This record gives sequence, C-alpha cells and structure tokens, in this order.
Amino acid sequence: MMLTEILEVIFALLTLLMSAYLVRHYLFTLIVLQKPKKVEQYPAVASTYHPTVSILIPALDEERVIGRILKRITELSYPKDKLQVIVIDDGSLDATGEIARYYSERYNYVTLVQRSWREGRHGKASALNFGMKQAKCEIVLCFDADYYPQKDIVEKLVRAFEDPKVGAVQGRVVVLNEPKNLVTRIVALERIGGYRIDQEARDRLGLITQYGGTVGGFRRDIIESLGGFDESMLAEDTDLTLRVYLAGYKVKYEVDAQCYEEAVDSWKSYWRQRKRWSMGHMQCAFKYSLKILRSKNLKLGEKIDGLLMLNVYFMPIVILIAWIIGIPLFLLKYYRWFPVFWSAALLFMYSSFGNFAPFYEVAAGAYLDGRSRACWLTPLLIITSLYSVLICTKALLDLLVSKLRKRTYPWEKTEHKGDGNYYIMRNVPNQ
Amino acid sequence: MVWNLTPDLITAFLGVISIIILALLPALIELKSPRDSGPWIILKAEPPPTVLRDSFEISILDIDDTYPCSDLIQKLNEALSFLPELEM
Repeated sequence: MMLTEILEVIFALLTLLMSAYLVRHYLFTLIVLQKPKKVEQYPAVASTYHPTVSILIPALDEERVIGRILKRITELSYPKDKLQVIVIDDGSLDATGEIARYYSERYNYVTLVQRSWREGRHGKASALNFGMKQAKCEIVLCFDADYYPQKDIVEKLVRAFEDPKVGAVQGRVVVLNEPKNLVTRIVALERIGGYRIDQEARDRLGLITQYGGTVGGFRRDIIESLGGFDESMLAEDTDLTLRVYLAGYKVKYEVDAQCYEEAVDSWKSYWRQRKRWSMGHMQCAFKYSLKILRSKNLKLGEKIDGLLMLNVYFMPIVILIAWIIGIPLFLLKYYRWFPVFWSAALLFMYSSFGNFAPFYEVAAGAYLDGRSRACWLTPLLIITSLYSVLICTKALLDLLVSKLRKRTYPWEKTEHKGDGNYYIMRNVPNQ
Repeated sequence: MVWNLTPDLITAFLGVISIIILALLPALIELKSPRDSGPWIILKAEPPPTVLRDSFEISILDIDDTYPCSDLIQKLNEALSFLPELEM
C-alpha cells in the first residue's frame, strides 16, 4: 500500500511537470494565432541602418554544399563594402578548402581561414572561435555550410540591433529537401512548429528567445566580452543564448529572415543530430539552471521559460518514467477506469507527446504558412516523439558516463549530401 | 486484480483503433501522393536565383570533362591506323 502511494505522488509530480509544458505550448500557439504576423515579402523594408557585418561559415568536409552557400552569399543585397565573409575550413579532408579559396580569390570580402585536420575537427564552437579572431565587424552572423539564405537576409537580421538591448538575433529555418522522404518531411514539420510558433511566441511574450547557432548573429563586442564560445559545450548556441540573457541583453527573433537548410534524411542521422542537441541542452541545464534562478537581469517569466526551455530534452525521459510508474499503478489500482483511459488516450497522446514542438503548434504553424495539406502529416510526429524517448534517454546516459569518466564527449558532425540543389532547381519556374 | 474483457472495454479499444486509423489515413494519402511537400517560401518571396547549380565547383575540382580514356583511345587509333577505312 505504501509503495503505491509513493508511486502516486511521483506520478502526480511528473504529470504536473508535463502539464507545465502543455500549458506553455498551448499558450504559445494561441498567442501567435491571435494576431498572426504576415511574412514580409522580398525585398526587405528599406532601412538606413547598415552596420558592418561579418558572416562566419564554419565548414568541415562540406564540398557538396559549400559552393552553393558561397555563391548565394555573393548574391546578397547587403552593401558589399560593409560585409566580411569568413569561411572556416576546420580541417576538411575533401575539397571544401579549394572551393572556398576559389571564392576568396575572386571576391575581396570573402576570407578563407583554414586549420589542418590535426588542429581542427574539434566541433563547431572551436571552429567559430577560430573564425572570430578574423572578425572585424560590429555584428557577426553565422550560417552553416548547408544553408541557403534569402538575398536580403542580412538586412532583415541586422535591423534588430538598432535596439541597444538586443545582443543576438535569430532568423527562421526552413527545410530545403522537405520532399525527399518521410524523415525530411517530419523534420520540416518540427521546424514549422518551432520557428513559426514557438520562437515567435517567445519573442512576443518577452521570454527566452533562442539563438539557434545558425541563421542568426550577435554583437561582436558582447561575445568577446563573454569570452567567445564555450568549446566544452555541445550546444554552443543554447549556451550563448543564456549567457546573452544573463548578461542583461535580449535575443530577438525575426520570422521574416528565412533561410533554407538541408535537413537530415535518415533515421540514423536524425538520431546522431538530436542526440547531440539533447546532450548539449542537458549540459546547459546542469550549467545554468541555478544561475537563471539567481539572476537579477531576468524577469520571473523569463526565469520560468528559461528553465522550461533548458529542461525540454528531459521531458521524453520524464514521459518514459511516467509510463513505467503509471502503467503498473493503473493496472493495480485504477483498472476500473480502463475504458475511460482508452477513450482519452488519444487526447493525452496529442497533448503530451509533443516532441518539443507539439502537434497543435505544428498544425497551427502549417496553417499560418498556408500549407493546409502539410497538416495532414501531423499525426506522424508520434514517430519522432517515441524516437525521442530513446534518443534523450541514451543522451542522458552518455552524458553521465562521460561526466563520471571526466571525458569530453566528441562532437558528431551531421553529414550533408548536397541534394538540396535539386529542390531549388525543381521549384523555379521558367528557368 | 480482476480484469475482464468486457464489451465496454472492447468497444473503447476498437474506438481508439478507429480514431488512430482515421488520423493516419490523410497522412498516408499525403505521403503517397504529395501535394504540399514544399519548399516554397523563399522562392515565392523573391525572384528566383540566376545560378542554380554551381558550375564553378566542378571546374575548380579539376575534373576533366573530356572523355575519360581519351589517351588510350588515341593510342589504339594510331596502332590500328594501318587498317582500311570502313566508311565509304
């Protein structure tokens, strides 16, 4: 009897925790739906604010995609005399450096910095710190090598810095190779939920808007005063977000600043990428949870949202524990409610298995984008929700093991196949 | 624990299964014949890019675009030059 009571208390606490996320995401969705922002068309609204901008493009074995982004960078509408592009070849063993050199020799605002494979290959934070040594401009923007930005993306991103309280900015990520297969289509849905609803709502509510490490940037002087990127962190973007907020600045989200990415296209790649994200977030949770609570620069709402954001990758594990406790508890004590439970099961699943961008967020985001047919795929998010239970559990175990052994967990790079070109070509009419 | 497979329980179970199938059916249709598989946002919002595939990548990688065994073919051609022309 005593055991079931203890299990009941634990289960109630876990349910309370899950409910907090449930309320949070419903609130986000309602806030954005209440007054949806119309996405700005090209070109960006003219502005006289044109600070100097350094663009960092870290690249490791990216010969299949680096040429695409560099070509695109040369087409940006931002004044070239205020632009410095730094390609960081972090010890590539393929032709990444040769392709980047081609551009650096022909465009005077493109610089190539290289490390040998012995010096490089230590992760994105390390590569960015290496590139930052060359950055001379007021604002620093970062793009991953597999990205494909809008021509006016720099204008759209830098205008946030007119407000001196803004320390960093984040733009919207859109999946380029969405039609490829089931994985890319599901990732695209997750991105819609995350960027069309989640980030926008946080920005509007004045909560913790997240700098995502790419399609975004920061003031160079702030990052230098904070000591650059922390190379021990697997999620250097989340780490930077929290350091910016704790230093008294804000991260602004610009939904109009859109950039394509090449999403992972296999379950194996999805596992590797999400495990790295999970571990990085968990590292940040251990590092910053107390600092957030003690901070005098954060309001109560920011503190609550910051903690929820940091601990989001623990939620699939919480769900797993809730199942382990809940199912035997239910069978032992509450079996009379069985028909009621089954009837409500779907509602619970849709509400609680959100996989960080819950179903209703995704559906609302797709609706706002005018993609009603994409909403049809929303139930498939259950696959990644269940997959995330495994990913996050493994991530936590690996992180604990690496802590016990006092070893740094190695950076696992996401492979990009360069098939995004096909999707650009296919969708352009009359070329 | 007393756990009987009552008609209510069977009805509830079948109801849930039906709802799951109904929820997944549109998803399967969209996967089978996609009508909204993106991407479209950026390209609708700005003029299409002028250069779609980066030809520079190929040229700077020093990939020879001539016939891969041209040297060998040349030598074979010379060696067989004593043969009469087959073309009239």
